[in-house]
Amino acid sequence: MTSSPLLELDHVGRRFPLPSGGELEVLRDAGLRLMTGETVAVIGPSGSGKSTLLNLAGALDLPTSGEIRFAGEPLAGRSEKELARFRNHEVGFIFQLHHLLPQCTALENVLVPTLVPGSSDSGSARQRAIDLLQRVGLGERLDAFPAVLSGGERQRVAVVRALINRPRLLLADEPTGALDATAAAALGDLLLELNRELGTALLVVTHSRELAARMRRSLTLRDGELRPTDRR
Amino acid sequence: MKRSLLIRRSLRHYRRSHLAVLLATAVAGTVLTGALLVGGSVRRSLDQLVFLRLGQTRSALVATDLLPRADLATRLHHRLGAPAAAVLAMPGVLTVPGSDRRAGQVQVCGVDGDFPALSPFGQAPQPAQGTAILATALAHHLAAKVGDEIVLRLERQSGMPKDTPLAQVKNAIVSLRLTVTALADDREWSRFGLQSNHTAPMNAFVNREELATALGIPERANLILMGSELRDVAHELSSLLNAADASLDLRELPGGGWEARSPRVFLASGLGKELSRRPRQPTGILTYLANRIEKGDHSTPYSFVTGTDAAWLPRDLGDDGIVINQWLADDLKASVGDPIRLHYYVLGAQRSLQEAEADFTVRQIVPLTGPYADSSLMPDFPGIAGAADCTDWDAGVDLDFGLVRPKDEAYWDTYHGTPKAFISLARAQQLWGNRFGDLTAVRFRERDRAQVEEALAAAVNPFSLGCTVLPVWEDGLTASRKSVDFGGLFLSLSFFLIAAALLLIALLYSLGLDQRREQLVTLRAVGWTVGQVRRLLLREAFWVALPGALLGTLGGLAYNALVIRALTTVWSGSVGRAPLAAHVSWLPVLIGILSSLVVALLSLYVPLRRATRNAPREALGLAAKRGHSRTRLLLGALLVGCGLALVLLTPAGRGKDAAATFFGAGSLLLVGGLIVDAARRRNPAAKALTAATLAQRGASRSPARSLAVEAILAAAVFLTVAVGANRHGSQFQAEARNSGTGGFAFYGETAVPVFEDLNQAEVRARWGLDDPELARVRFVPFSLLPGDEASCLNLNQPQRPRLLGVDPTTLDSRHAFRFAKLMPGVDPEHPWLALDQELPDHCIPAIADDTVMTWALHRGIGERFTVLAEDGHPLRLRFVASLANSVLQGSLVIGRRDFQTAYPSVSGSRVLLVDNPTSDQQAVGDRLRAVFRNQGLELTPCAERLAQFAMVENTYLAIFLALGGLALLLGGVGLGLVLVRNLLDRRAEFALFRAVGFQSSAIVRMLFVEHAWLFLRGLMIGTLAGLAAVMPALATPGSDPALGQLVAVLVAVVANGLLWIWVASRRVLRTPLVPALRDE
Repeated sequence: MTSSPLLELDHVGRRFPLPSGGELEVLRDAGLRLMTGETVAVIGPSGSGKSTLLNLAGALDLPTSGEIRFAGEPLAGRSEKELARFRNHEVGFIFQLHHLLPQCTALENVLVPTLVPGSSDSGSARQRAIDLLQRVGLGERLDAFPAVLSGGERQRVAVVRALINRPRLLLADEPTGALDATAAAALGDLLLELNRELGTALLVVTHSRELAARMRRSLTLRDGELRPTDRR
Repeated sequence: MKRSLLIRRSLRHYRRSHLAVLLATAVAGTVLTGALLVGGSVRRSLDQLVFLRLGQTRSALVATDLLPRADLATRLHHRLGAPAAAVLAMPGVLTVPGSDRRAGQVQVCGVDGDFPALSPFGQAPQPAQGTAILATALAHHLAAKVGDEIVLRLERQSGMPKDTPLAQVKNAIVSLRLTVTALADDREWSRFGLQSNHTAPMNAFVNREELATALGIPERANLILMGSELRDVAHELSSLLNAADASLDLRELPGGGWEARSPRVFLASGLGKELSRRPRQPTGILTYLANRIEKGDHSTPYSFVTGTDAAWLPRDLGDDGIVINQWLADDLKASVGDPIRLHYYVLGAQRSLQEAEADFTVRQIVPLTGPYADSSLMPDFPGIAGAADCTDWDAGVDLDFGLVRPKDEAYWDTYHGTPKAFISLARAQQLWGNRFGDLTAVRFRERDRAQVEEALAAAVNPFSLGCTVLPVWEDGLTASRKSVDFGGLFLSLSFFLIAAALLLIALLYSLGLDQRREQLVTLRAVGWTVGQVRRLLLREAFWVALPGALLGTLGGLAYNALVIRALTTVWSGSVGRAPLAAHVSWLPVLIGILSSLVVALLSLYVPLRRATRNAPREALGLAAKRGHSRTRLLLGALLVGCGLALVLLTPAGRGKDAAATFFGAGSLLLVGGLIVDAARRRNPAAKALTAATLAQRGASRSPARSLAVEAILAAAVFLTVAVGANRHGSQFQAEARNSGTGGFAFYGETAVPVFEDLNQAEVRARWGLDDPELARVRFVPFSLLPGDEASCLNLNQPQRPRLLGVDPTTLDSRHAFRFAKLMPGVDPEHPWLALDQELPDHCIPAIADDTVMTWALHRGIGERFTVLAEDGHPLRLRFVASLANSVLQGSLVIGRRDFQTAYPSVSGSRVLLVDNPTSDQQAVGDRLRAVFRNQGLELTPCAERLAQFAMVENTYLAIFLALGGLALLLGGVGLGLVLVRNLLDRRAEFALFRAVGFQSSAIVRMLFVEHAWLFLRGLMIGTLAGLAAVMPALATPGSDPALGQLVAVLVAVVANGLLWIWVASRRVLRTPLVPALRDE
């Protein structure tokens, strides 16, 4: 862990136009500093803007005010191509629903990010994908299609897909939301193990207080602002 | 892993939705490739017909007045080495004795042994004397068979054109009784003909020499067919033609020298001009019959007067000086200086003789000796030259023999036709020169016959003979290649079907993409750019569209075969029953594959682009980017406004403007209407929540899907409405003067011309037209120059369209026909009189049907069209007016005066418009056919003739309707898919309705209302756009839309659509819904 933050959200705001003509302010003055290898959970009630925060952090959306910096460099002003490259190299996304491609096997799903030009060498990526899948206990399920995988297995494939390009930041949006308690606990273990092993920073948006409690820090999003969670 | 693997995996995984897109692409490909192949097939078939019509013939010399000797073909063959054949082709009437079987428009072809050398397959009819070989089309028409006896009636050909003063028209018909010895089919050149028409000519082949002899023109031919190109024969022809070809007889003059004269009395005017250019100019002579020569109260009847520039007349004769012989001076008691008046006939229209007069002063009285006693100055007027007495004259005009005195008979006995008076040649030509010529003889001073023959040969060329040499093969190919573009036609007829197929492609692909929205998010999240995702999906779509396009090619081949079959059977009305065959060539196939691939990918790209743009946002819980409804509403309203403005600004008519409006305004109104509707759907007015408004809101849940379905339905209904509104009804005011019939009862065409004015009492009595049944029948006669049929019944582009010559006052006085357009300056009250206008650029005013002008000749009002005059010189016509959908379709109409000047040898009238104020059309028609039996009158009720033309348009509309039906089918498929997809997507919603207490019937009603809402809105937009787009055509005078049929079709479409929506809604709710709720 170094002293400079990996991800910084500085007074970030996000407003959406409403069909009636007004605007909905989802984030007002959100601030966050995430250090390399750090694990942070963001909790909050439904509709508080957690997913919006994650989309902004992953450059899937842009703030209407404030600034987001990654490794000290602002995301604003980057081209679509540069943002796509940023997502491909620096960020790994895990969604509540796995979003696996049903037409591809587990191994192929993991390799989808490597198809982007300029991504990892295909030979080494394939070996890394196999290693990672074996690491998460799916060594025997490399050629299985999503339709035959369990919910927990699918989510593990999604985790491996997020890690394939060795990102420095893993963004997880309700990763355990669609899993039963056992599978959810196992996925939590896995995310933290990988964090330790790979040094990947982890920003998790969740409703689960159990999962949040396992992160180094926990923040609550309320009224468009991030505040430290009261752990009482 | 490579992207190609991902594409392969996706293709396999989404094979069902891809298959649907592939099939929709195949439909578009079928229509596109099929239309192109149909175009190629029609063109190739027409090319094939040119070959069957002309065989090896490349050029032809066509003589209409002076007919060359038939052995010109042999001379040409020897000179050029290429085959050549002489043909004597005449229109005739064919009857089968002892039966009522007859054909009035037979092309009688006198052929000889040279004919087969130019045939398509080396075989051609070679009838012996007394026999005839009939083309199968004619034999079929007559139900004639080998061994039958037939009688052919043709116009007798005398040397003298029938419209020449003093020409005889009695016994104008020749009959030939022949035995049919064979029937000729296409392989035996049965289709021989020079006109670029695709209909099989009614050819009867007879022995050429037998025919020529019977017609009174032995050893003559009016067609010389040549196997050489025009550029090779043009020069050779001039050098091969001689005095005999110009029907010139050489006579040695008693005083030395030679005289050339012609059995047609007048030497061709071109010949006179050629001879006048010689250094040693021959002496010109024009001798004419004066009815009376008067001095005061003294009068001498029926005397010949000669105009000449001979040296034996005083040089200072001038225009008003006359030299008379002593006999006349004695008879008139005239002296030098006395005034003399000549009375003579000139020929008006339809051989109506008018007596004219001219005044002279006696300059000299000469003795009846020497050159003044030369009886050979009188030409060989038929009926006069050989008469023993004056009273035996049979001059072809009414002469009052009561005026002939014994001294006149004595003069004839002694001096025959020796002229009694002489005037200058210039004055004689001014008085008596006519369109057939202005010389009756030329005299050469040379004593050596060879020298004279040489001089004549130099003067004889196709131009001076009034012949034309035509590149018939090139013309035929041009006519076929510029024919109706069936490829383009079917593409435009299929425009809305293709649009419907493309919308279906977009809809199906969009439905498929809806299933993959999460994937698009994932790809974006893992670092793919929008462009990379789009390219990936496009590559995948390519492998869907390509087999679709290839399958479309197979469909196109079937479509081609099917449409060609339909065009030769059920739709044959649209192609004038042309013998078409399906042909396949690679170019249209290749273009079809590429174009269907491109349009399919373009159609896919729209939903693809939208999905890749919106997917991450929608999937991540953000609102999709959409245009503002207000902007869309404005855009839609603007398009509708433009469409309506276009409709209002387009003048009434059925020309190119109306067609452009139909497609332009139709598209604007359709697209604009759909955009307005979609914008309104996105913002449904806030209403209380009821089952109905719930259904309405359901329809606005997937705006793109709803829009696509609506668009397909609207396009299909647009077609149905446009077709129905354009279709001609069967009832129109046929008797009205301002209708397409001109108020005439019949349109008649004869094989043998009628030379007299059938409206004159004495002529009517002679023809038997004065009986009570026909007493009120009147005629408007037209001179006819046969040519290419210019109406929609001919697929070829007319190169030399049929020309009609008419006295414009006959139509003007009746206010006949309705005009579609007039050139500025034309009197709208009397448009026909514009045919007699002198145009500033020496063009000849012409009138044609608006459809002929626009579609067959590709000309507009005020534009020029060039045809060839009889002497081969270009004749520039200018369209001063166009008729609205009339029975005169098929020909161009010019004034009779201009017609006669340009085509002097075309005598009499062959086209008759018949006024019949009596009510018994049938009886009058039968009587007229009987009266003009020998002329081969083909009489068609005008209403029926109009209906024939309307049938072509109606058949096109039927094709359009069939294609519209297919579009409607695609719309139905689209609606069905959306219905099923909506229901599948919303199973949980319906389960919830059930759970909260809705009865199934209420849910079915709600579903029905929701989809019927879509269906009816599509119908409404299509109907309104269709009706607006055809307004200019509907506002055309005489248009008679079949609105009853249209309403019936629309009611059927609505009832059918609603029924299936009801059935589908009920079926879907039979599927168990509880599991869906559980899944949710």
